[in-house]
Amino acid sequence: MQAENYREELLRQLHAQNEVSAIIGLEQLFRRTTNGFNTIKQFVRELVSIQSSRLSSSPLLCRMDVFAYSFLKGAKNFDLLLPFDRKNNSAFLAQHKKWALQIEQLEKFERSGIKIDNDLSSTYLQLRQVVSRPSARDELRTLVTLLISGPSSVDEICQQLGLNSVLVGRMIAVFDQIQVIEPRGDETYALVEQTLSIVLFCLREVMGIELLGTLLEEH
Amino acid sequence: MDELAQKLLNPYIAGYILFVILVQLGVGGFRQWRQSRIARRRRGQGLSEQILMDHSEQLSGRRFEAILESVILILAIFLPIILINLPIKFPAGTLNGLGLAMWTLIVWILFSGTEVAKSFLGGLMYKTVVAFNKPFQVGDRVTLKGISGKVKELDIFFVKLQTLNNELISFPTYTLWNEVLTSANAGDRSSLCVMDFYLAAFVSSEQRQQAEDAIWDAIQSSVYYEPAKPMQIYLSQTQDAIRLTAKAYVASTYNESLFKSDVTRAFLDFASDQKIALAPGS
Repeated sequence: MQAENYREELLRQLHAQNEVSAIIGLEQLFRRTTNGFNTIKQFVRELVSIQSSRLSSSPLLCRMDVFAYSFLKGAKNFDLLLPFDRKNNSAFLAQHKKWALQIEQLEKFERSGIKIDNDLSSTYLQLRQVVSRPSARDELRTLVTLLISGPSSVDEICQQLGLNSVLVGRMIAVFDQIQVIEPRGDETYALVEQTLSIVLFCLREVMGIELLGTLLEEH
Repeated sequence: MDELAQKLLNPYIAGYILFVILVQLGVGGFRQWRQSRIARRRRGQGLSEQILMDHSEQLSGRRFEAILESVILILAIFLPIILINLPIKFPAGTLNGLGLAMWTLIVWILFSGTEVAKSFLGGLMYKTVVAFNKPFQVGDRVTLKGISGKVKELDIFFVKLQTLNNELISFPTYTLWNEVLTSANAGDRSSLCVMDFYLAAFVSSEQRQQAEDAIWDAIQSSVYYEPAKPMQIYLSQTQDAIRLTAKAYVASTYNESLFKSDVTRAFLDFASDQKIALAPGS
């Protein structure tokens, strides 16, 4: 779609639904691939432009996956276009506190062997066994992909990481078995929210990836 | 000479020297006991010996240990100065003897001690300075005396580097005072990665722009990229090529080669798809 048509079409849809107060699932326009940034960039650019020309209208809330947002904030300065608002994110902030607490427990467990909740330690030990191997490169890349690009099918992971489907299928099965990912109805797989703190901890320690820290410290 | 010997042959002085030795043995023993206790507890929880934590997370404890050990040694050696200021009555000549023993101990270690003692003190001082000043830390990727690697250990006798070929190289710690040191990450998880790409000198301005955009996207789509740090691309010209230099941070310094590989592969795919002519690197 041409840029002018795109803007007109977006404007038309916003006008057609007068009561639009929020746009959800923005992360669906994004995948972290070499060609994956354009769609969401175009959408947000046009949306911001339309909003700023409608001075009298009330603010339009956009909701997107926090990990995709954190990534886009760093990589594409998305926070300048779509600022993170603490008031509208109290549920996420409460969840983040829980994750932070679990990550702190995992740190103590890993560093000094201090006992933690059985479910947490059992899942952690299983995932640790997978990701601590020097050959676990693709397993780690798959977890990062699921974290930032969101729920993904086997094909999408293969395409994004340049892997073959047999290998990805095998990795997915392992992660599914230890309950760090779960199948979704549309043949995609997503990280399990209950064990997300374990994935965040492992990715931080092995891959150096800490998206939420930078999201919150500047606001 | 007799007077000097008389001053030193004193039970208080023998006690002082014994105290210095015991304090050091005690500190070392305590450290070992603590480490073995933690190792036992970790084994009991089903954790393997290798700690799955980024080095920057493990450093605060080690830094505290290094500072504590140095402070304890210094306090133990300078004990006579503390004793002089206490309202205790010592037999005549004892304080002078203690002072003499203290300075003898320091001078002996500094100048006349064995190589082992010199290494020990030189290494301990270097370790202490490193703990405060942090020119590099355990886990950093550094270049020392022309050899690059990951710092595996930094103790009072040796600094051990693990090279990319998995060789373990040891440098006597006390010899590092005069060495130029390059640290890729200086205690941080991430480190700067510089990548050069060469386009043929005759490519069009549109192709140059496309190549720049492709590098930008290739970096940001790599799972190893650190988005919280700045990224830049510079353009320059060499005799036979147009050079694009990309500077971006890799999230974990140990993944630098994987990051470069990801970006290079994506860029080569792009150049091949778009039929953009490349040039050999200079």
